[in-house]
Amino acid sequence: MDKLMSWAAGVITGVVFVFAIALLSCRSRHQTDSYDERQIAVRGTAYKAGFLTMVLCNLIPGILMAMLDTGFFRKYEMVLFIGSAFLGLTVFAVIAIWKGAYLTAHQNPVKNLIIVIMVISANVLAAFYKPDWETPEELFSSVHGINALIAVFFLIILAALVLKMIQERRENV
Amino acid sequence: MKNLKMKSARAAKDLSQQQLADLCGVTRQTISAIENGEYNPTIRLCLSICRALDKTLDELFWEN
Repeated sequence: MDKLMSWAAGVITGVVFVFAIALLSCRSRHQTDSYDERQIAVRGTAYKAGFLTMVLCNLIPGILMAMLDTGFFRKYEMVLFIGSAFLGLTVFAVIAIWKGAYLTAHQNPVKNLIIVIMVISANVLAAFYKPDWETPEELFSSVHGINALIAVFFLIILAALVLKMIQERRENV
Repeated sequence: MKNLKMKSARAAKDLSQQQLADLCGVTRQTISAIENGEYNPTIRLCLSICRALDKTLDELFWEN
């Protein structure tokens, strides 16, 4: 119970912290700082892909659990179902980033990079600081597995952001 | 289909894609997508681009 409460406290602290950083970073001098029409269309496609990914990642293990009734999926149940939401988010983010629809015209990409790095750091800390697991199986059948998964997904988003920034610099030259 | 008329009109005004994007209130990637024929802009954006480049709709967006 103590571990769960400290985990919950960590999650809430992390969410509040990231939210505060996001609020601070979203302050812009430009009054009209919204997505343009092409970006809105791309984000619609990205939302669909992310949502479909999340639904399939919930549906397939759920069906397999019901049909096969083995202990395998039950052991990783929590990580699978919560991880599927973050996988859907990652799919949305990567598609939006790659098609230039993640940031508005006036948003600073470096600030977003910093936020993503902070999220990764917080989750790596949560997963690996004073771990109560010894093997990967123990990691992914515990709440720390969710932190590890989130760190991995946000690393993918970070890679997409960095690659896109490099591509933009080349095209701007 | 690539919009070469828009690209040459932009070059004639010595504007980069970023500068044209700033004038029209869109991202550079959107201007690039329009010039490469990857995106069909709405009439509102077409008009905004025409105003920025001092051209008419026919001159920039009408297919010959």
